[in-house]
Amino acid sequence: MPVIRKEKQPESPQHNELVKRLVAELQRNQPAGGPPDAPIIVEDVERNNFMRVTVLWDDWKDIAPEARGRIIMDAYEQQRPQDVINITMALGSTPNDAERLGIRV
Amino acid sequence: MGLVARLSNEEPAETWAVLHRAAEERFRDGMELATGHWERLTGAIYLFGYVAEMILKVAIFRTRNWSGQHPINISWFKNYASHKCYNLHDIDGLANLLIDERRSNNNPFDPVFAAELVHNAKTVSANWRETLRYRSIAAQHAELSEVFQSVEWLRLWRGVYAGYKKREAT
Repeated sequence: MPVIRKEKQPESPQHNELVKRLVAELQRNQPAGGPPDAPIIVEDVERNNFMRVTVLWDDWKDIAPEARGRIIMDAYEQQRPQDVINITMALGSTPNDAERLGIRV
Repeated sequence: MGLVARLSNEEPAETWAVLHRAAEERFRDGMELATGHWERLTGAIYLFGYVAEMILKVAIFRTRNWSGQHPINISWFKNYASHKCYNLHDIDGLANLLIDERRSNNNPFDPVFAAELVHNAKTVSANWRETLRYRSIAAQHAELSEVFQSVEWLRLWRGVYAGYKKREAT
């Protein structure tokens, strides 16, 4: 029987650029405004300051779901390292997928 | 003796061990419907949705360290799940409940993994309700494919998120 080994996907070439842009949005830290193509970052704060982070962004469309989460975590690590321990979920979704899957902002 | 009478003899209680086996049985049934000559796609999605539901419930019960012989108390579970789930078939809500349960046990998921779990649960939810049985709509191949991939993800990773490996090691 053939053995098909699928190697771990390499980090996407856009990884660093997307982290940088997400960091810029976290730095701006405003509930509205900013460039039209900026990511929308939703932080659902729960009990004991645990937080679910959802980032709606058209630029996710060519990025695998797992890579999106890593990009979000890397951005928080750079900009808000004190919050990383409290993040319980880091979900990246395009606005279209969010609407289809019922992800509410 | 009818099947129901035989059920009460052979499988008298609902436990997570029974749910675990039932999930695999319904998955195989779903595969037959999905790949058979007549392509019963809605029927396949209908069964795959229950597979997702059962897998998540098993993961929750295992996270709570219930034994495989522990009968599931439905009224307790309804009450316990009510703050996250609109009913006990709410797959998205069950995934969120599992994330909370792990966090409460000081064994939280990696946040990226949690996001994948939620994404796959939401994908099934977007295509499935238990009330599909009352409808005549014909599912499309793309919808079946989405559900199948998400249910496969849930099956593939349950060893991690339901703590099987930890248990086997101890």
